[in-house]
Amino acid sequence: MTQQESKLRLHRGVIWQKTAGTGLLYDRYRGTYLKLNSVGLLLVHALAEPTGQSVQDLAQLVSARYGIPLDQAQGDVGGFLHELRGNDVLEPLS
Amino acid sequence: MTTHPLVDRFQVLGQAMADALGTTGSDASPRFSRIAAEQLECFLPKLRGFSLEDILSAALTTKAEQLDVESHFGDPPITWFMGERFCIESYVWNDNSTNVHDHAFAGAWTTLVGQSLHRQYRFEADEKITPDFELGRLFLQNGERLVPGMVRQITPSDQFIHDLYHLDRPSITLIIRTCRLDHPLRGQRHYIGHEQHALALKTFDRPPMEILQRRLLKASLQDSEATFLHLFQALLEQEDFEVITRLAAKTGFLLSHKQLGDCLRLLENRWPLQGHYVSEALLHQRQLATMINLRHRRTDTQDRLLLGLLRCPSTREDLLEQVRTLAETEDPAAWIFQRFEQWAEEGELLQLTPTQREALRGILEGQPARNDEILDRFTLQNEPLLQVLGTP
Repeated sequence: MTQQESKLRLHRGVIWQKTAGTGLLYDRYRGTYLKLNSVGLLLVHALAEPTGQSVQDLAQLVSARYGIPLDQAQGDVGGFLHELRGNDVLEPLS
Repeated sequence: MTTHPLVDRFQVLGQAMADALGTTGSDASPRFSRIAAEQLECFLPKLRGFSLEDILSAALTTKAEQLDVESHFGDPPITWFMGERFCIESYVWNDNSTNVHDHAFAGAWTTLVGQSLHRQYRFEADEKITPDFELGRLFLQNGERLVPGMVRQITPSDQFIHDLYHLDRPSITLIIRTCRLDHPLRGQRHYIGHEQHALALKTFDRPPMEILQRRLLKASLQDSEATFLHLFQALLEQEDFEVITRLAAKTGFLLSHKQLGDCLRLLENRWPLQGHYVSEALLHQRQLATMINLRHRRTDTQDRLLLGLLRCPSTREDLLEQVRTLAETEDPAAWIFQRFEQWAEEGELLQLTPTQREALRGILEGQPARNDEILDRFTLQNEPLLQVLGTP
């Protein structure tokens, strides 16, 4: 499996909540919040699955949901995952 | 100095206990606890009506050998009678409380002054790491309000796990207990956590090196967050799971939420499966610390009762039922909400917006949220003080 195909999921200490059109991510371990837009909410919902998601999976999800080219979706997903990694709320699925 | 009359009464109680106990039987047997309870019940009429001042004045005139005057169990602990097999002690409680714990001794205790919330628990082990350290789940068995005149027995080991949350300031308890600090089976353990994840951990009588490590961690907090994390990381590489857990438990309450989270992530990286128990238990301990800190500023008995109930492993339904019984109210949700509102108005708790206030009332009453309340509910449910309300 290549690095790009490796799967990620939300850390088990992280919970999220859907609100009207947006969402909120809460790191219970550190007590920190992240606000989510509708794309972020879609991705977090997928990342909360115990089986995890690859970057490719997530990009296809965004591309299909919003009708945008796959390479553009990959860029959006990469940016969002970068932010989640910066907040240390993701864990690799071994 | 003339001996205070109370000292003489404790001497009489001690002699009566020694006579009743005789020279046979194991100190760890139920017989010891039963006899201690009988003696306390017998002597209760002679111990009524004393104040904190009486106790403190009398303590100045006692000549009894002090069992462990440096102990933080009681503020202070006072030994009134020291026999060969047992001693009689009283503990003064102001803002301090007990953790959930079991015992390495047998005995019985009563409340002399004030009142306390007393709860018993059951621990179910999932994994034994060492004889002094187990991972498992902690269940609340029952809760009661202890007032002067009520006597309870103490059985050694994990057959009797409890905590006391003192409602009046001060409260004073009196105990007859075996003197041995170590039960032959194992030492006293603390319990941290709740119904899903809990730790049973011996925290007393640690070796000097571990005490030094703990103090080094505390000292590093005076320097910087980075220094603390470096030190913790270095310890992770050299110590085993039990020592690291104890160090985290003993220093965790000094850390900011973010610092604690950073430590727990490091710990889980080293021990992924077992570490999760530690994380959940210490996050719960952090919630309890919020209750303890707030209690320093709330002296009203009913306020303290609510704080004591909130710190218990529980659900919203359990909480409402306990409030109904222990606060003797027909409308527990209103009783709780009234206190939250008062605390908020006095700046002690959340700075509640009107929507949050309504959301909180909705949580207490178990009503589904309106759309515009969802975010506020989420925020409220993840406040340490209110986490218990998030579980229906």
